[in-house]
Amino acid sequence: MEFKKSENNGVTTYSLSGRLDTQSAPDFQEALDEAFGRGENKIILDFKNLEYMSSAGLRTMLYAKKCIDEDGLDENGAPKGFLKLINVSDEIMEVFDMTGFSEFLSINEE
Amino acid sequence: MSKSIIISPEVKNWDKIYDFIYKYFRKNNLSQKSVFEILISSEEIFSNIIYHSCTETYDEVIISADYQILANTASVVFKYGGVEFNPLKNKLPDVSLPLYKRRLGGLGLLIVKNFTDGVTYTYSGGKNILKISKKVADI
Repeated sequence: MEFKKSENNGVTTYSLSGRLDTQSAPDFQEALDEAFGRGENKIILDFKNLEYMSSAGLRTMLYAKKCIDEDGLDENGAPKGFLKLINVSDEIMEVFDMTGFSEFLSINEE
Repeated sequence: MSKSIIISPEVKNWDKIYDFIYKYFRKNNLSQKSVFEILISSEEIFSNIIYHSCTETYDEVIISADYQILANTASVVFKYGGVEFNPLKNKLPDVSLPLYKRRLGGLGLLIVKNFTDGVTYTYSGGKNILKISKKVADI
């Protein structure tokens, strides 16, 4: 899997391509970890060119969501950070739905 | 006609298995969706083999793919040594739990059971034999 990173107004977008699987997920999680270490907590993951994702990818999503939520709330009571997944294919969406992840992840929302 | 691949149980070999399964079933005209579901189930099985059965051995894993056109059934069989371990005995995770009660892991079996129509496990002659099968009506 490959990913391209871009930043705009404090929001970091990762455009993923290829396969997020047992081989690639640890590397991607490490990249996210480094981003969290730099204080980046507004993250968009663009799945447009992601053709495949297994439970290894789910674990990375769960990890990322927990890390971002740990940043807590701002003075107005709103979450300081967010994780949004966009352009998720029907096949990968089925994996999120089946495992209940679509209940707590923001997926394909405007 | 079924085809097989023999491979050592290492994460780096998942790519080869992916290519093997993808090419075999696409050649047999299975839909992209069916192949996706067979692949994701196969990856969960292969991960189980690496992390639960073959943790201290690099014994070979024989992976056989088969498509029975009359029965419209695709199957993948994993035959491997290592520790006797039946992943089907694992408890399925509770998918209704909120985020903070979720564990990192335990989702593989759920995926396999949802994306296939049958999973069997036997241990015979010092080998674990795990088979997944799937009805593929949409070719």
